[in-house]
Amino acid sequence: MSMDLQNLTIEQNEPGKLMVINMGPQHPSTHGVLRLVLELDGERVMNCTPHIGYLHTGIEKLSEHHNYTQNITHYCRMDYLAPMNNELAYCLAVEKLIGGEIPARASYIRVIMHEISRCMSHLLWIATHALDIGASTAFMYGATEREKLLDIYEFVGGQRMMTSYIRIGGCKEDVPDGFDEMVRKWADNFGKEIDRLHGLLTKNPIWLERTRGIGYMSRERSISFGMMGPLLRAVGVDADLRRDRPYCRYEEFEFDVPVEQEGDVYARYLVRMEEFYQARRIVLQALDKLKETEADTHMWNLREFTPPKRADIYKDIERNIHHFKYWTEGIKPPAGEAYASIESGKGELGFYVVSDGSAKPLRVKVRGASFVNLAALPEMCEGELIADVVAVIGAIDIVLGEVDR
Amino acid sequence: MAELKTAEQLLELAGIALGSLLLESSTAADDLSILVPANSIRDVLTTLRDADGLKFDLMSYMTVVDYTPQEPRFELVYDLYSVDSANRIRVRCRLADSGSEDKLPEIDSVSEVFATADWHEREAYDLFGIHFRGHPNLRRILLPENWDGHPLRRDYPYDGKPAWKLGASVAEPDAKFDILDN
Repeated sequence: MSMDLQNLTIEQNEPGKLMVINMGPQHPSTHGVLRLVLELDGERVMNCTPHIGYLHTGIEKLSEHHNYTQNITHYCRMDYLAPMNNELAYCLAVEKLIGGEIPARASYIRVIMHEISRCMSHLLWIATHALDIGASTAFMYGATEREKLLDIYEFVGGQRMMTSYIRIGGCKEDVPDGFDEMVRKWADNFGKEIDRLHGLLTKNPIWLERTRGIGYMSRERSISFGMMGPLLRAVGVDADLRRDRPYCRYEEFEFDVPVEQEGDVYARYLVRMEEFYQARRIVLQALDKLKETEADTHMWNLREFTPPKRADIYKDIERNIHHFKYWTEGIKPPAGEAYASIESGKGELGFYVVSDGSAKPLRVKVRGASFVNLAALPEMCEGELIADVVAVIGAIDIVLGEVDR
Repeated sequence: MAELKTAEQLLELAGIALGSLLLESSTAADDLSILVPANSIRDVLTTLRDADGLKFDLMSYMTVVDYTPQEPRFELVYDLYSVDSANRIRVRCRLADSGSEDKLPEIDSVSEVFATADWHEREAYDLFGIHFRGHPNLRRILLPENWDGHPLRRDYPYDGKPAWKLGASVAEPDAKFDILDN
């Protein structure tokens, strides 16, 4: 056996011969079930081939066989780090198809939950990204802070994940009493927590060494790869869907869009870190606006597309019938197609919905940010050291549920 | 930042750039959606990417819709976005089925025009069975290499091709190992 091993070593060390290493799908730093086949020259990555699909659950096929309301349940399971983002993007697409006006209160609740989801997504990103590179302290602070956000999720939607809280036409329920105080309490402390993460990492020489100049992408290639979100903003492109194509009344909010020029892992880190502060800013503005709206206007008033209020069902037979028909037959948007997209924490998350006028969609295409961004991984990795591959994956911030769908 | 244009303004610009290649258009819900011939899709997307005033330089996604039993059966959808002006356009083209199981319907690949089309076209090939001519690496992406059929086609059964049903006897070895071996 020792002889064999010796031969193998000599053969592999021949000049010009690449060593093939399989990384994943069980590797902890691939954030799920991503598999990479790396061809190495010494420690340099010469070729990188991603293999995806290990978590493919056929969500798009399932969507064609469930009605519009039931489908929300599938989508919160895609990007499970920020479930409400998926619900929001899907609901916006169906609402575009129907074409009704969303009440201000529902939009502000959505904005708050959307920004909280962004923070949840980014907190898990900084926690695991730092852990991958070797800074395990940041993981503890990131995970602790994320727990507080999960508590808000639970308070509002009844569950820590998979809430199905955002519904077609608004939100499932109005926010409970004490929501305002709870979110403000979190926001008061949040800036300090992010300052602490900055203190741990931003000027840390080891962190700089591991992230600066790594995983470079040019502006042209990033655009050609269809990247959006923090990855595009890290190469000097000033683009943000919340500002450029406002949805959910984002035009009423004041916030800055952080842009960095370098296009490396460190630039992506700086962009996301700044987004924490901006998310907090938006949440506080939305809380103020929420106070000015009337309670219980969390759903639009299109009777055909809205379930009756729970308390009303037992009052008269009509609403009882309405309730029954809504949940058994489902809603029937007019035939047509619509695409709506949001700026999720990971990039552009969009839904393309085609309706044939029945209660089930003819086709739902999910434009997952992670799927698109991951396609650029080989270009970012090639020529880098094998140890930097985990840094690059971490900086792309993928979630395999969204990649494989 | 250039100004956000309305769908009508964009349609006018696209009409000038594309000429007779623009077959139909719709501006429902302020989304511009145009229909172009399938055999010139590469030219159309290159024109839309480079034309002055349009500059749709980012492809958001590319997908297929199966309109069975309508003819032509498939509609390919390319959604383009302009980073500078935040305008959006949806380019569609129709593709007939080849009529036999062995031959897939064909269209030109646009992976040279937009790098992101590479994975999107692989996904369309995998789930819909569309062959993209000139694609550098057209193999399945989400499903295993040995998968039988293209699941997002409307005629592909919802609960999959025959495997085990809930409560079925799984003792027969043939049924059990079919999927793994082929």
